[in-house]
Amino acid sequence: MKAFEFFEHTADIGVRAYGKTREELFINAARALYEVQGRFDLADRRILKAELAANSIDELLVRWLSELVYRLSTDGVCFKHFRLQFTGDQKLVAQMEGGAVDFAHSEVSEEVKAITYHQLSVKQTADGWMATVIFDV
Amino acid sequence: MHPLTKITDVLWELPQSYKAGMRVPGRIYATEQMLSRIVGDNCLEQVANVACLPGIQSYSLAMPDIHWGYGFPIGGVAATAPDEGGVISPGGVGYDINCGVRLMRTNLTQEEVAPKIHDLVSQLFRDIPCGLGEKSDLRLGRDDERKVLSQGAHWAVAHGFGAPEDVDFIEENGCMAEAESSNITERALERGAGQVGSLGSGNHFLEVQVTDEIYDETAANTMGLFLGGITVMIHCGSRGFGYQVCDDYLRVLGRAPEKYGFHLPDRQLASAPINSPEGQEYLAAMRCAANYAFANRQVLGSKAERAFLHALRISPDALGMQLVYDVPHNIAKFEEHVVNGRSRRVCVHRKGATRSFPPHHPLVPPRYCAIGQPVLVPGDMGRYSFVLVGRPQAMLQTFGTVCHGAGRLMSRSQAKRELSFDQLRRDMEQRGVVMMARGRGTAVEEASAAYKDVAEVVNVVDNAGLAVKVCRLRPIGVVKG
Repeated sequence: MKAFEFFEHTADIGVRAYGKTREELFINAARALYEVQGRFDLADRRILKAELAANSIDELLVRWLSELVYRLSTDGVCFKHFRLQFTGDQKLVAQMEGGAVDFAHSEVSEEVKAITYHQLSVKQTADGWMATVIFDV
Repeated sequence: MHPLTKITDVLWELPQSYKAGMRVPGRIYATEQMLSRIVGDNCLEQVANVACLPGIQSYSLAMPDIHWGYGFPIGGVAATAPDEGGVISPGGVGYDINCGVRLMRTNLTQEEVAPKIHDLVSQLFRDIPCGLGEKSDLRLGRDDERKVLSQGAHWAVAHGFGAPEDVDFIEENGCMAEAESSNITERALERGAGQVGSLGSGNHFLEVQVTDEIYDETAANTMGLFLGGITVMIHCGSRGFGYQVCDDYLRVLGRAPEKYGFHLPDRQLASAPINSPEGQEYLAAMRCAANYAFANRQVLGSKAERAFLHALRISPDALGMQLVYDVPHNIAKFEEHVVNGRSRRVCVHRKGATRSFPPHHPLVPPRYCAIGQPVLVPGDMGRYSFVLVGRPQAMLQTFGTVCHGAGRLMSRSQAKRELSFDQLRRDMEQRGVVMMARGRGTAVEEASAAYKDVAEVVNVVDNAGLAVKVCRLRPIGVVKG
């Protein structure tokens, strides 16, 4: 199973992410988010925890990816390893391991500034789960 | 076949019958040649969706640089009436609240600057933080940040960035009233604390330009622009702060349609009645972000002036850098407009669209009273940008609004597939443009070939009588995030 693929959007970048489970789906969407932005070397090691809740699973995906956008935008932190656990249909506990990006030794491609609700969907398929989301760059 | 009815050679109507729920027709400013791309890009659906907003007046409008956006199309304009249940929609403002353009003129000529252009662009690239991971050298404490949110460009001037008279040449005089910083989340404050005075990434830029064509000598003279003269254009907005405000309020306003009993065809069009607590809270928060952007561009303009002085080793008098004008193109504001023969206060959403007020309008600065408000329309980094001035037809047809840029021709991924960074650099060199960019991917996506020709776009608004061309500005130096 493919982890994710990008699709055409005039002004921004569309992503289709896949996973056998909801957890894998969310992790693959996070990997797509970082891949769009470049290749990041880390200057230190940090472990952070986040508890997120939303009104639906697709809104939860936006909350999750927005959390990662916020951490990179504010503290310059990127995560490489994730442990996710759904504690309800629309609740998530995430443990993220990564560190502060060493921008001098990283290859920055572009910056994702927001996760949009446009054409947003999270669906169960015969193989597992699929999400469609558009990143504002 | 498309569903549009021709009104004039540059104006097309999308009938109200096109989609159930439309409260007004759509109107699109474009040539016939532009239409196939507009129809193919699915923009008509977005024009129709905007026409479904409660309280929308006259038309759901689209400018000739229209392309697919979130909720509103980019280039979309809608005026809603508060006394008819009219709504405010963050989708009609965009993530980058008060993204806009600033133009500064100088006394310098191309001949004087060309031999030193590499040094100048290098200095600008060093002094102006841009791209992901580049923080501003200003790190604001919460008290100062809240002052930025309430004072806008005035905060920057008070802290030594630019001259007091600059604010006379910024839309809203560089500060929107009724900004309420208690409506801002801690997350937005944190995201904004280190970004005042930074350019960001994506399509934002700083350009050193040459005035290479003049169409209206009187208006150009009034703005201090002359043939062969050097200008600086900055395209930037409210950075991560504005994005976070939009994100925070999309969540709040996403629940409002159900609460207030109306249906919208797209979740990204999340809206609340202007006269509701949610609507008022968003407006007060949006104004904070607008003021953040005004302060940001004021600081960036001042940093650019210092970089010129340092790189060229000349006096401020010799440089003669002055602000021509600063316009937002992602914003919602209350303005007086004539609707069905009656003057009304409406909330004009401009999502990728520029205010274009005519001569003698009370909100046009006295210096420009006789010529109209300057309208700044950036093109792509290889070709040119335009300066126009507003005309009375804009008040009659478009709530005093015109286009904001070229509009994309290729998607970002297509540009990256078809173009390389080295190819881009060679192309820019051949065009006589020195470019420095932080992110290679972003630079390639912003190549000339990825954009429509902005001349075609401004010719539409000029032909429609919404604004008139004053001059063309060609880049010779580009700083990109």
